[in-house]
Amino acid sequence: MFSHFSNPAKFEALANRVGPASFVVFAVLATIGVIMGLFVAPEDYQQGDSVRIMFVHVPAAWMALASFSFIATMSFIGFIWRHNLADLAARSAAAPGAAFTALALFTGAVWGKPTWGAWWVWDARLTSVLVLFFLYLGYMAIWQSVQDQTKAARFARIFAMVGAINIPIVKFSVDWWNSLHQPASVFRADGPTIHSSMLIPLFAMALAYTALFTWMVLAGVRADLIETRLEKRQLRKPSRPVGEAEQIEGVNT
Amino acid sequence: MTGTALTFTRATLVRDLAISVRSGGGWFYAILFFVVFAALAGIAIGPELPALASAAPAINWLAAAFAIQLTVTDVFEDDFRDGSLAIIAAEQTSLFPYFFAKVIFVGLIVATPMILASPVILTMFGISPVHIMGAATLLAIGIPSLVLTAVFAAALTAGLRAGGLLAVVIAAPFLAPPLIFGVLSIETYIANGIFWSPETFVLAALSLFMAVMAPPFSVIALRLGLE
Repeated sequence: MFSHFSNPAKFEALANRVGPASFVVFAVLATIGVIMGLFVAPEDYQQGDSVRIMFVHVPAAWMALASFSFIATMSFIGFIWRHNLADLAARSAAAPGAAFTALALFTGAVWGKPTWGAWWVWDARLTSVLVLFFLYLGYMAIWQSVQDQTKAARFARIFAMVGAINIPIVKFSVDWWNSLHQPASVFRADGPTIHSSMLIPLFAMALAYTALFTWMVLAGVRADLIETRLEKRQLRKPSRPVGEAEQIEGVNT
Repeated sequence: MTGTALTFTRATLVRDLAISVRSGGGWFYAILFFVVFAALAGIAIGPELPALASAAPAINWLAAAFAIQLTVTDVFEDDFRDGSLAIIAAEQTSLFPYFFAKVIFVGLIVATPMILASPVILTMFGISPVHIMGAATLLAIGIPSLVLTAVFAAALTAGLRAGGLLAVVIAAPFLAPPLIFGVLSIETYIANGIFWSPETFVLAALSLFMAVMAPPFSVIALRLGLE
């Protein structure tokens, strides 16, 4: 399947259909999720209205992890099979992934202030997400620092793969570190099991985020392909104005 | 085959040591940074010994991590710029001997002085003399993971513009586990007197893990940088 869609023409045919479709899915589900989350879902008996941050926060945190898994998978595919499109997909996923991570961190801080009384706690989850955010920044920095994009892709692959191998280690190390320091976790370990009135908007939002991510990645890859095509067309153009006599059909297009 | 690889490793190591010792090669920058960082941290924390003592393990590890990161970023730089790495890569069947020579070099020039200096730093931070040698040994157990992370980041950024700062950014996520367990193992040792605590084993495991991970990826990255 990957080999099939590694052909840019076939990929674009797919992207032209799936991209707009996923945007429609995003728009519909996000509307449902926001309306249900803000107005239909009940407020929490302890947290009041601030629990509604969950509908933005939790899907963002899921997407933060999912995006990096996507980048790592695409990097692996790019490393093994040398598919150019896999690298482009990984690169296009970096900015949305970093944005989701930043959103998760920000909404987490906003949620944490009324709930725990602190903007930030050095809890295992928060810390590992912060490290994940640094991974995204490093990944994007590598793409930025090499001009030749095929070369940049190779560096970025290595970084993404090593980063992915390290994520579980970071996760477990901060888990242990945290549990040693704070035996009674600030997170409610057995919080109220989520009622369907909250679960439905939560899943709607999660799917909406996924659709948004899909749309952004596809759009990013398409933009890259178009840019490459434009550059190549520019290279084919003659460097000086062509006299009428020497004009050959097809050269100047 | 192994004989030539060993000879090559030794030759590279001797060459690097000679360069760093002669003509202001800067073998002392890392240890200087380590001491200055710790001293400034001590000044910032203030003169109260309990506060200093509780911060000591963290300061010790942070100073080591940053000193290693900042000095190791350009460990491949000269060989890249003057073309000797290109010649080595063309001549040798594998870059592993070259890579290991660099790791040993960093271990001797950067890491070892830090391990030797850390008892002094820890004493200044009010750690009791009973625990000084143990804490320094714990640093020695964990420092390979810091060195290997730094060398990997340096290899990845060797051919890149603004490689130095980028290497620090790249290495940052990988420094979290050794920092966590390095500080924890010293704290456990000082609090309970247990040297071989679970934290120490994990710290050793992190060093071994990086010893497996760093070489292949670094060698791939070095070859990439040469293209």
